Amino acid sequence: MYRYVLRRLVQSAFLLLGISAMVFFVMRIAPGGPTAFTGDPRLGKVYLEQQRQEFGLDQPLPVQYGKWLWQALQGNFGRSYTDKRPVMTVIAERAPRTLLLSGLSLLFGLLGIVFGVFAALRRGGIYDNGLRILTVIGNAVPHWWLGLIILLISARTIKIFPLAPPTNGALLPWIHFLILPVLLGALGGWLGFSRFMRSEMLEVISQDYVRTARAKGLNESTVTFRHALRNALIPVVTILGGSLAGLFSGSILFENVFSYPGLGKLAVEAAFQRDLPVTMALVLISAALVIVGQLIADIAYGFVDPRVKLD
Amino acid sequence: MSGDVRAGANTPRLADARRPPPATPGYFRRVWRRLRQDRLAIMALVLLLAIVALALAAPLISEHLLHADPNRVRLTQKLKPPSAEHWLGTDEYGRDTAARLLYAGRVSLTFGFMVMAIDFSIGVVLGLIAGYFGGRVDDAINALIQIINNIPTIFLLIALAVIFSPSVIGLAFLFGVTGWTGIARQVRGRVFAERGLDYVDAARLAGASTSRILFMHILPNVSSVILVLIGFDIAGAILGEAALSYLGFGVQIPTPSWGNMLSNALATFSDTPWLVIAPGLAISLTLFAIYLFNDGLRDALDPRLNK
Repeated sequence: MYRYVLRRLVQSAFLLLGISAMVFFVMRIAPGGPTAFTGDPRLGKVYLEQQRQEFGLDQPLPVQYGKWLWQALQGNFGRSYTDKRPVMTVIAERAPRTLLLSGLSLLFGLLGIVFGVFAALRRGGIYDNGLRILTVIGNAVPHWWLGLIILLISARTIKIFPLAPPTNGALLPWIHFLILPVLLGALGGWLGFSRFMRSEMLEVISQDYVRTARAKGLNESTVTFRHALRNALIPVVTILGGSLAGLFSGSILFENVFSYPGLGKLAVEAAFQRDLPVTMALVLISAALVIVGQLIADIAYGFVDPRVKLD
Repeated sequence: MSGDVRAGANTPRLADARRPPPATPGYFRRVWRRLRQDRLAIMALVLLLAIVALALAAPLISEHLLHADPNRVRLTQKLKPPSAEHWLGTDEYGRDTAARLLYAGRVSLTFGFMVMAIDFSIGVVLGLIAGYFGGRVDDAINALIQIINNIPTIFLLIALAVIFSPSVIGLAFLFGVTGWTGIARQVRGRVFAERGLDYVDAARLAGASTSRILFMHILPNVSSVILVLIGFDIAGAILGEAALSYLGFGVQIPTPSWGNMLSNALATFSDTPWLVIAPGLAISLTLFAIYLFNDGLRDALDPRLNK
């Protein structure tokens, strides 16, 4: 077990190293180089050369990468071009909001497990078929567009939800505001987890040990919840880790639809202003968060399922 | 005893149970026959073809039916609600929304196909190579897949779009470069199961080159897996384009796409519901048709799945 954890840790570190290298070199092959984003085209060659020296751009690429990585590891991604504050300060300010929104979305999204279990138990029934149709429709409709439509209804007819987050820190307006983005964020989880859970549950129900439990004369609810459900839940742990990347991608859209000032909104603002240090740091940090999430999920899997021989 | 042996000869081996059906002669004819009987899938296919036809015929329809040029600015006609003259109203420049929607459909659908073509070119080749050779090659390709998969896609695409400010084709290329990993993984898994089978050994002994084995022998046998992924990939690309264009980093105006039409609608958001509803409905309807058809296709390709 410990060997497995250690191996996964090393793997994750290398993965992050690979991502950082990719992020760095992509940034450097940008047309015109990094100075194209800061330099004024009217400035002379001498000044550009001076600027290149100032940013250390005259050094060989591997050296630049080493220096950049060393700084990044210490949490120093330079200063934002627009904000002038250190990139990490800007990100740290926004991160809790995104974690709150994504966390709540994930938490409510887990209800999809319940939907899936019921669909499996009443397989072929009205509920199961209804859920299947809703899943196809739910996957076809972009969730952020659905958010726009609900906001549109709120703006034109009944004011169900506020169009923008409250300006003060009062708790109730914030809860009222968060309902819609959290529900839409959870929608992805409902669709994904319910389908996954349905097939897992159907698979487990047909296993021999479930038949044995029934044959022993146990009542149906004990069989379902004690024997089937507990085993069907195990693989959910694995897709939890995988759903993190999607959660972050989703947060970009929801944050912009609902003007929620988190990392997703920051990413769009920074990109519009061509604030490269912030953009690059966000790619790297969001990837790091996903990798850590995946790591935790994988290790948790080893603890939850004793059948898995991890090393 | 002997009875057991004969029974065993007729029942498929356990290993075969998870194999996709092989591409024997007439396989795709049988698939089509099964598909034809699936009424829902055929309805979805008709809907899909209708959407494609509408997009293809955009110039004809705009000129003769809508009497509108998608790019003609008429400021006196701006932000008109739907009427007999403008079926879906007009936008902030007085351009006909219906005509723009059709032209945007051309862009969004073409985009979906382009991304799919790139995704499959990369994903199938790398998946075949990784699955067939295994070992170091497999590890290297897997590392690449892991790197791409662990970066939230939209963050990455926004960053890339800012750096390269791509054209529509460039954007499709960026989507393609970041979107092939799922296909590669699926293909790799299937090839891994195929490569130990007798027909591969037979081909090798017959002196077939590696590329011939990969593309002429193994690829047809994993094609049923690949076909299902095509629809999902196109749908994903259309959805991704819409999201990125909505945020302002995708297809750039004046080229209309379903995503950037939504983005432009934001300025007058609550006064012009038709500008928000129409493009989103177009996206939803297209994706709905694709998913529904795909569902039927999957069952037709592998009837054993439909237990």
